[in-house]
This record gives sequence, structure tokens and C-alpha cells, in this order.
Amino acid sequence: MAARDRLHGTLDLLVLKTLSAGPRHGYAIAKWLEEGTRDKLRVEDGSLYPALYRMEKQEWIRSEWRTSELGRQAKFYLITPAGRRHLKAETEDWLAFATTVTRLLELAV
Amino acid sequence: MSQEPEGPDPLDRSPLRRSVEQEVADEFDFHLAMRARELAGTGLDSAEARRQAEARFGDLAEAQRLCRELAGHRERRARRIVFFSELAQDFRFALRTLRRRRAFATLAVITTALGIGAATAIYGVVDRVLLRPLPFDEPGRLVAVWASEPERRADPVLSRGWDKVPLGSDEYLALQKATRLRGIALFGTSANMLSNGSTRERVTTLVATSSLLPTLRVHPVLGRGFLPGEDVHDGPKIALLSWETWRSRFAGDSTVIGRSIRLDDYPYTVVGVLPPGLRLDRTATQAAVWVPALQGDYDLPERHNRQYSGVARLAPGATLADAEREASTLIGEATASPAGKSSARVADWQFDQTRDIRGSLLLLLGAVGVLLLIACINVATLMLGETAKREPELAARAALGAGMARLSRQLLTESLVIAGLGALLGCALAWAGTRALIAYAPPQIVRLGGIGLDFRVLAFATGCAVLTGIAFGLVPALTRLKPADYAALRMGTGLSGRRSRGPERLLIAGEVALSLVLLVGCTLLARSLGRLTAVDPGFVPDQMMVVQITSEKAPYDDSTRAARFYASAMEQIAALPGVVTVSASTSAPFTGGSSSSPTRPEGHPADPTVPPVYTQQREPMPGYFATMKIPLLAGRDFTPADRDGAPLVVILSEAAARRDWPTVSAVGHQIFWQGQWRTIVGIVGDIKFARLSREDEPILYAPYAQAPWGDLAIVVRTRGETGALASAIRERLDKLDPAATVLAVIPMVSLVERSYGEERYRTLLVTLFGGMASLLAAVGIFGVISRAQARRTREIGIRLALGSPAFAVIGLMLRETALGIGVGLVVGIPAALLVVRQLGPYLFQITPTDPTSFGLALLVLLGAFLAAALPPAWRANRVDPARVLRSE
Repeated sequence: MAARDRLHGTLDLLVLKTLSAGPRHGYAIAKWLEEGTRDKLRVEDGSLYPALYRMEKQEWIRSEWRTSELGRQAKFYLITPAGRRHLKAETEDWLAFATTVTRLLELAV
Repeated sequence: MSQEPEGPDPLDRSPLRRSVEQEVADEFDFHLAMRARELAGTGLDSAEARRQAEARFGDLAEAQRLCRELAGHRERRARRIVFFSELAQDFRFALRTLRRRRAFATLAVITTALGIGAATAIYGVVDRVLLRPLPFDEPGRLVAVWASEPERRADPVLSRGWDKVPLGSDEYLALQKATRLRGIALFGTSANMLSNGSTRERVTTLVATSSLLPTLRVHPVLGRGFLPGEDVHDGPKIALLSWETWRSRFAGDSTVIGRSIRLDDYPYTVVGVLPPGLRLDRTATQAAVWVPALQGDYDLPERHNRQYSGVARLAPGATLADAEREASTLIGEATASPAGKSSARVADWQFDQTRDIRGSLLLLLGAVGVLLLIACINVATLMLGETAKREPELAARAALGAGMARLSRQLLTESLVIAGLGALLGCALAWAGTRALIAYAPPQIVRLGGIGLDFRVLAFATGCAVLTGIAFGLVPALTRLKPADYAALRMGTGLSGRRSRGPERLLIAGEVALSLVLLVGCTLLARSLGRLTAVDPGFVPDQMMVVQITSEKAPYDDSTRAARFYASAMEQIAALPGVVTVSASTSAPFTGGSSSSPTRPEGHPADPTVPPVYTQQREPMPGYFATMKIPLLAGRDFTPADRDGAPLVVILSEAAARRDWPTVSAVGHQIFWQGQWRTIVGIVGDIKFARLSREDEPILYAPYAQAPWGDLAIVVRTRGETGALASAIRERLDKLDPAATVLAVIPMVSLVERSYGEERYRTLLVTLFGGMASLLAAVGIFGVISRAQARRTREIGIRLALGSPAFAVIGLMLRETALGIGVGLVVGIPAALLVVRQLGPYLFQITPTDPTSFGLALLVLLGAFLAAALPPAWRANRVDPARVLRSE
């Protein structure tokens, strides 16, 4: 359960991070994740969307239909002020956690 | 479309909104297309690219299900936002259209306001008196306990209140053993002079057993209540102050405990202060002081005096029937005598307190309900007419794509806006109306004092508004917008030609039927009141003043001082200009007093196995019958020679003489009264003394000099105007004796009027409602005929051009409403017959089916019809055929 939460949380964090740079549609987010993680963090395309809908329900992001770069209607996601606050807090948490774990792991036992 | 500046058309539905399902599908499809396109870029053929894109997506169906579920909340919120924004649009739009149609809106709002205002005002009183629970802990468990003597029903003097017989010490002691009742308590009221330092004031005193406060679960805010052992014969003279008295007379001083006050010149020690607003009966005046009961000689068990009301709590699990059975047994044992025994009546306390006034108030509530219904129907009729006028506008909206449901909702919103405005104005009317209700109300309602518009009453008004709004909004919405009509609206052909007038007729019929019910009701009540006020009271109340005096008990323990006071008072009054004769009596008619006791004619030995026969008793001064103009039928009047020590004499009223000596004259015979045989020296005519509607009760008159018990009321026969005399009398008597207080100097006519105040009040209100109802019905009929006249102008023009006579055109117009009115009468007359049967107990010498009342009601309705219908019908006749034909 905790592991799944962590996974959700990580995905959420990454999505918020990409949206903090500007609106993107679902496919663009998926591409960013692929490229950014160099496929180390393989997420099934299908599991990205429930995460997006969940975050929208939590009002971290919102969506609107716009015309995509190829002239087709696509649903774009935008980060909300609440989303930005969440991103900031979670990033700090994550870094603190990672630092601690890293320090412990590097410690000679 | 200049009147639509802000926002989109309120009746518009956005075609751009997509469903959640569609949205998820579109989004996924976009993703797959993009992925496939990317894969196609690596050299795959398009079908293979699509297949791989789908594989990469994973479980498509599951993802869709999850997303739809997650988006559901957004869908609901969106729907809510649309609903409210449409509502706001409807509301703004309704206000705007109503502003454009000012005459219609004003009429509709005023009609609604009248209905809601009247209903709210009456409901305010009903709520306060009947519905609101008593302000005590677990009020539903508090019960009134009375003795009940069913055999008294046969006795004309005692029949009143046979099941509301007060309790005394015997019953109190007996009821202590009850297991179904907890904490039986007795209380009664008396009027006393409260002196505190130099101020003296007449106050109501509550006499209560020590159990009363614990039974009510009320605690004194200061000091203590009465203790068991204090409410006994010759117990300590202690008193509790009401919060209000403590604040106003003692400045809220907490050192008042232990201080001495005087009630009728007897000293009492204050032991406590009661909580604010404490009153036992909403319809009675609040007591200023409480003193312990059962302390007087009167209360000794062997005296068998009964003067207290009983209250108790039902024991846990006990029912009213249980408690009544047990109390009956206990009281029966305690009161058993060879002549019979009493039983008990146990009833819900609040219900019992409002027993006398309940029917009357519910009657008014019913009448006002009918009025509200008529107002609703009237507004519905108005709305129907308006909808007809608005067909072009509705057609335009339909053509622009507004759905049927949306148009109905728009109409409904308009009616709710009207109802809301009506309720607002109605509340203002109710606020003013309540004031008037109280100003003219009989004392029981007046004492309610603080009737106002509180939360419960406002909630009632709001409920009325919503229900009426829906009621009269739905009628046009439903009748106007049938799918076929809707199609016609869209096609722009309009409805005028093929519209059914059924609903309009139905509404007129309903209005007429309901108005008839109200009118018959108020005619019956008015005629009954007429009969009542025409009753001859047996004396001449005109040109007569009554002086009510109370004396403090302590100085007047000596009865000669009282006699001296009355003699000099009468002497002083007799000397005033304009006074013809002066006399006095205990319990003068219509002063509210009455007392009776057992009497026995000669030849009837005392028989303890037979219940005693009671006779009303009055103790007049000489010259009383002449002053009152009560005719002396046989024998002689009292003279100053019938004094203390002279042979004991009495005069009987005709009813008393006939009862005891049915075949011979009673004059010269003996009657046993108050422990002594007395000779009957005269017979006088019967009089009414409490209510004009009552049967004549047998009365025994004994000279005050030979029976000097109780306060006298002085009666003054005057010449001409009585107004100035009142202050002159008061002035003379105030100086006479500080221990006697003039309570009131009132024309006898006012006292008689006051006796039927409740009947008059009820009749006045129902007549007011009846008048409003016929006015509303008239407005409805006027509207229908006016519209018909407007609609059929062309037809009328042609008829006139073809030589149709004027009366035929007028007849044509009247026929527009004739069917509705006919149906209304056919339904209304039997309905009225059914409803007015409920009026039976409130009618005096009139049967509910009185044909004259029905005839009068029909006449009033006919008058209203003609007044409403003739002007527009006449106008139809004035149509200029040439102009009408040219305008086509």
C-alpha cells in the first residue's frame, strides 16, 4: 500500500513538474516522462490518465480543450495555484527523504 | 433584443458541452493517434502502428472506466453550476418581464400578499396558542387534573364546567397516593393589592402548593421555592416574586430575600424570585406574586371547598387513560357521599388550557386557508391570461431552441418570483394585521401579548409562498405547454385560434365555489351574531354605568365598615348631576362574577342521598330592580326595612319560582338557603348575566343587609350622556376610603358587548375574509371577460355591423364566464352545505343550512359577478364596427 502510494506520489510529482513549465496534453506528458527518465521509469500510457483525472479532482490541475500543434482538438492540462503549492511542498519532502536515504546508504556500516 | 444586454440568452442550451464519456473517448483517441503517428514514423504500416499504440496503452477499457468514474464529480458540479446559472438567469429574466408587465405583476403580487398575509397573521396566533409546546421540561407529560361530575349535566346552574370541577384539599390528599401521576400540584389565582413601601398596586396573585415548582421542573433564580409543610393551614406567610415584578417594583435588588411585603395589608416575607417569563397559562395574565396554597380556613378538608386547578406529570410509562382511571378511583373514594361521588378528568395540559378557544381559532385558520386558495386560483387565472398574451414571445423563444422544460421552468420561476414578492408584502401585512388582530381581540388572545413574526411564522409564510408559487405557476405551465402547443409555437402559427378555454373555466368554477363556501360561512355567522345581539337581557343596559370596586380583605373583615363604605359611595354618586337612581349588587350582570349554592323549597326534607339543587345567588341593595329595570312580576321589592335582624326575605327570579313552585305562586313560601329558611316576598323577571346565548338560570336575590358577603358592583341609571360621569364618579370614590379601589367605571352596554366579543371578533374576521374572497373572485371574472372582449373585438365588430342588438353582445360576453360560474355554483352549494355543518356549535338560533344565509351569499356573489362582468361587457358593446373592420 505504502509502495503504491509512493508510486502515485512520484508520478503526480513528475506530472506537476512538467505542467509547471506550461500546458501540455496527455500524450506530451507521456513523452516527457519517457524522455526525461530515458525509459527507466516505464509507465503504461493507460495508467497516466487515471492519475491525471485524480489530480484534476484534487484541483491540482485543470483541463481545457485546445487545438494541438497538429491542428487537432486535444485536451490540455494546466497546473493550478494549489498544484504549484503541492509541487513545492512535495519536492522539498522528496529531496529531504532522498538525502536522508542517500546519506544512510553511503554510510559505512 | 435590446432588453437582453448581459450574457447569453437565458433560454439557451450550450451545444458545446460534451459528456464525460465522449470526453474520455476523445482524449484517449487523440493519444492513440499521436502514438500511432510516432510509431508510423519509424516505418510501421498504419494498422500495425495503431495495434502497437494500443498495446502500449495497456487496459484501455479499465482506464476509461477509472477516468469516467473520477470525472463524475466534475460532471455533477458542472450540472449544478448550469442549473444555478440558469436559475439566476430565469430569476433576472422574470424580474425584467414582470417590470415590463407592471399592471399584471402588481395585481398578482397584491393578491398573493393578501392571501399570504391573512394566512400568516392567523397562523401566528394559532401557532402561539395551540401549537407551540409549553415552555417547560417535557411539556407533553404535564397533565391537567380536574374533578368531573357527570350528573351535574342535568342541572341548568351547574351544567357548565361539569367536567372541569376544581380540586380542593380532599382531592389533593387523595391524589398523593396516585402511582400513575407524579407530583400533583394545585394552583389558583386571586387579585390582591400589593403594597411595597408607599406604592400600592392591584396584582394577580398565584396561590400554589409547594409541589408546583418541582412538578413544572422550574427553579427559583434567587432564594427558594415553597417547602412541603409550608402549604398547610396557618402555614408561614411567605411569597415568591415573579422576575418581572422583582425587576420593575424592586429594581432587581437581590437583598429582597427576607424582606416583608404586604398583600391586602397582610405581611408576607419574600423567600425567592421566579425565572423570567414564567406563566402557567398563555391565555391568562401573569401572576406578580406567588403565595402558598391551602393556608386558609377555607382550605380545611372539612369545608370541602374546591377552588384549585390541578396539574401533574404522567408517571413514566403511564397513559392519560391509566392516570384518569386511577385518579377517578382516588377522588371517588375521597368524595363519596350518599348523594354520589366525583370522578376525575386527566387531559394534556396545553390542550386543556386552550380547550375553549381551540375550535374558534381552527375555524379562522380554515377560513383563511380557503382565502389563500382563492388567491392562488386568482393569480393562476391572471397567469393564464398573461401567457396567452405572451404567445409571440414564447414562440420566439421556442424558435430559438428553448426546450419545453426550459420554457415551463421559466414560467414557474416567474410565478415563484411573484409568490416571493407577495410573501414579502404579505409578511408586512401580517405584521400590521397581527397588531390589529390583537387590538380587537377578545381578552384571551390579547393576553398573548408578544405575538410577532418569529422564525416559525416566517417559515410558514415562506412555505405558503413556495407552495402557492408552484400551484399557480404550474397551472399555466401545464395547461399552456402541451407538446402540440409547443410544436405550434415553433411553427409560429400561434395558439389563439385553437386554444381551449377549459382551464380558465375550471379556475373560475373553483374560485366561485370557494368564495361561496366562505360567503355562506360569514353570512351564517353574521346572522347568528345578529340574533345574539337582539336577545333581551331582561334588564335595560342602555344609559347605565357599572362601578366595579374591590376592597382589601384585612380592613373589611369587619362587614359594617364595608356596608358603611357602600352606603356613602351610593349617596355620593346619587348626588351627581345626570344620575337618576343608584343601587348595587354582588355579581351584577356581565361583570364576570357569579356564585351559586344549594337551595331547597319548603316541603322537601333534606335528603343526603339526593344531589342538592343549586340556585344562582345575588345580594342587592334596595332599589336594585328599579335601577336595572328588571320587572317585578309578583309580590313586593326589597325595602330598607329588610335589614339585619328583620325577618329573612328573598326574591326569586321567574325561572327559580317556576322550578320550585310549578303550579302555584311562590310568593309567601319558604326556601332554605345558606343554612336558614327565608320567606319569598316577590318574583322578578329572568335576566342574562354572563352570556346572551345562555338559557335563563334560576336566581335567588337576598337583601345585602341580610347577607353581606362579597364585593358589590354599583349600578347607576343615568340620564343622557354617560361619558363625563365616569370620571366624576371615580373622583368622588377615590377620596372615600383608601382601602377600596375603583377597578372600573364602565357603561353597562360595553359590558354586554364584551360578553359576545369573541363571537363578534370571529364574525368580523370571517366576514373580512369573505369580502376579500368575493373581491378576488370578482377580479378573476373581470380579467376573463376583459380578455375575451379584447380577443373577440373583431367578431363583435362584425356582429354589430350585421345588426346584432346590444344586449346580445353583452350576453355573449357574460357567457364567457357563465359556464365556469355555473359549475362553481353546482359544486359550491353542496360543498358549502358540507363545510358549514362544522359551524353548528358557533351558531345561535340559526341552523347551518339556513336558506336565507345561502340566498344572501348567492346574492352577494351575483352582485360581485355583475360588478365585475358588466363594465368589460359594456365596453364590448361600444366597439365601432367600421374601425374594427378597417383595421384588418
